[in-house]
Amino acid sequence: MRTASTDRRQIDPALWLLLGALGFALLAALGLATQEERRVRNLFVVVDLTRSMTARDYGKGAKVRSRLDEAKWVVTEIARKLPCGSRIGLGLFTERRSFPLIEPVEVCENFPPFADAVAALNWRMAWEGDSRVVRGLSSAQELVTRLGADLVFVTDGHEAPPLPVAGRRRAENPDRTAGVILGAGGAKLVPIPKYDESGRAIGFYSLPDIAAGARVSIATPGSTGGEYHPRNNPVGNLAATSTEHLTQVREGYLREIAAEAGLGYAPLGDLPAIEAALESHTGTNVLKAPRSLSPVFAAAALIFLIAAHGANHLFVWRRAVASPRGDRNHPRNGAFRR
Amino acid sequence: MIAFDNPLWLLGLPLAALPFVAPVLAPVGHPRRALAPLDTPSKVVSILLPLLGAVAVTLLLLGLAGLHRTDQTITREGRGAQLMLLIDRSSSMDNSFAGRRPDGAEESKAMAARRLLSDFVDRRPHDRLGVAMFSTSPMLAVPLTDHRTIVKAAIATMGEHGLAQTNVGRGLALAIGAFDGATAKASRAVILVSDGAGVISREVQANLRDLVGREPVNLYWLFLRTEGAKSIFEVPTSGERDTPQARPERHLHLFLQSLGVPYRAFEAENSEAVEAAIDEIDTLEARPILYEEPVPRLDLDGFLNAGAALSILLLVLAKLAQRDRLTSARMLAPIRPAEQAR
Repeated sequence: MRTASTDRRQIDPALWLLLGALGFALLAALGLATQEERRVRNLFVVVDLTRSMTARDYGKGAKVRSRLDEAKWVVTEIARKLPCGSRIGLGLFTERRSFPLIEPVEVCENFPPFADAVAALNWRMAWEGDSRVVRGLSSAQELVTRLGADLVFVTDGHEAPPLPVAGRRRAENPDRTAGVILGAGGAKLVPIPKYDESGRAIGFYSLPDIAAGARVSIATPGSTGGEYHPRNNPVGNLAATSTEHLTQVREGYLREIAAEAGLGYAPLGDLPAIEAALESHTGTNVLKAPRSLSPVFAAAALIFLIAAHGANHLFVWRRAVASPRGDRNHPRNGAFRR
Repeated sequence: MIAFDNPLWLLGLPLAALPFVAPVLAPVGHPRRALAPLDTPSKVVSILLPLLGAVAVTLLLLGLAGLHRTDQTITREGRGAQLMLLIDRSSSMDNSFAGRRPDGAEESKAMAARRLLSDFVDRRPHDRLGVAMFSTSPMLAVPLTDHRTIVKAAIATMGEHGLAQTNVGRGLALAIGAFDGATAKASRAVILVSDGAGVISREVQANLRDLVGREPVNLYWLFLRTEGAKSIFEVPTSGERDTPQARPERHLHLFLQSLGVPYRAFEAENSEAVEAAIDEIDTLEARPILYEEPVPRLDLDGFLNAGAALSILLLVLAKLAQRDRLTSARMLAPIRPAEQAR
């Protein structure tokens, strides 16, 4: 009798598995948590709002969209993918200054209004038509240094007025700022839409709109061949051959000033490349966040529960098969011995 | 709305059928089933036990999939308004009320306005707020929203240097236009904070009249007057020029008065006066408003796991009550002892 009952306890693991499942389910229900280190970023996005950003060279056919539309989409995607606890701010660049609209705010809580604010960006916010990218970039770097954030600078690198023949100013390299430049636009030259005073599209920019400097300036005796003068005609005689009235992404130029300014570069349309550039060129802060242990315990409880059903069934199945066979084949008590 | 974090776990849901196929209680080998007829309690138990197992498996899987309630809002009635803050970002705002570069003792107009507006936002929990800025061109920083932190983050940018000029007309047009699509039931107001004004061109004036006709708003102008500047209420003496070019602030005031919507101007020469004006706006713009209060994400996995634990507990109790009759039944004494049989 005793041996039989001990046997039963030994060979019935279902009860023990069930008890294990119960224990783990109780642990899961308790809602225990552990500390987890989450790597968060602090980004400040500056979007170029100059005219060349209204050039439409993203998408095809009916879905063609401007560089600005693409930039808005990418900035929203970047914000969406940031882990909670990260901060993101928004500013705009035009003329030679970067101007803040929203200081960095926590991204998860403020995502809907932040996305709305990004969607509300408009070239009409630009207070002047100039686009001095290098000056705007250093202004943005000063700004993010004060805000304690890393820079995401979206531009197509189209300088207006064109860069002087004498050479441009170098991009500054404040060692404290990190960040990336995102180059907007395609490789093909496209025209830049032109708007009248009340914002109606009235065609595209033509070369005389851009290179008018040569006509109003007086070529001083010191200038070389009347073409270029450091003050009066800094861009030389553009009218003959230039394509300054058309625009494309100046990737080489942007990579150059990014290197001078100590920033990374990624093309705007390429989200994985942008993520890689952010990964290598922006800093992360470690934020301690609670991580619930419930899923681990719940998974263990599930495994034990299924094992309890399965093991019991397997065990029963073996016995159920074994016993009739045993009944049939086992020689009757004493049948052989006799 | 109900959503899952890791919906892939739901692929495991067919496992819930396992308890029906493989019962948790060990079947008892019994020589003849007809000897143990199914009575009602047995039937109930034979359905209930697999059901408990299935429920436990399902609840655990739902918990692992991260079931939660989200995007819930409750519409409540409070006192507040829909406010667009229209902030002057011209470079003169960087000066103090005395018209000087701020030193340690006195703060700039922008900093004073930033501090007081930020407090104002804190005091009004039920408002929907938006922030627009203007200098030479109007800029919409934050469209109308319930999230106060981002509104305050936009106000905080007033700490940075301002831009060039004061083009107030287009700023007003942007701020009034920003109410587009917002519910008309709540009171809507634009609070203009500036230290000066500019000439509003005829086209923009017509545009503004048109906008205000379509979207009636209450207008408040908080005029941060620099020491020595003329008051907006001061009527010029005879012989003084009274044109928008000479007295743009007075003429903006006259223009806003002529719009035919509720309008009040406050003139403040120091931060205390600004505070008093903001207090007054606070009391004026407190009408019943329907606001949506978001219910934060509610994780349901705690309840699910507790439910699963309860089901498993019942299963354990059932398992403990299991009796293997073959081993626990007392065997009848053999009729003939084995030794005797041999």
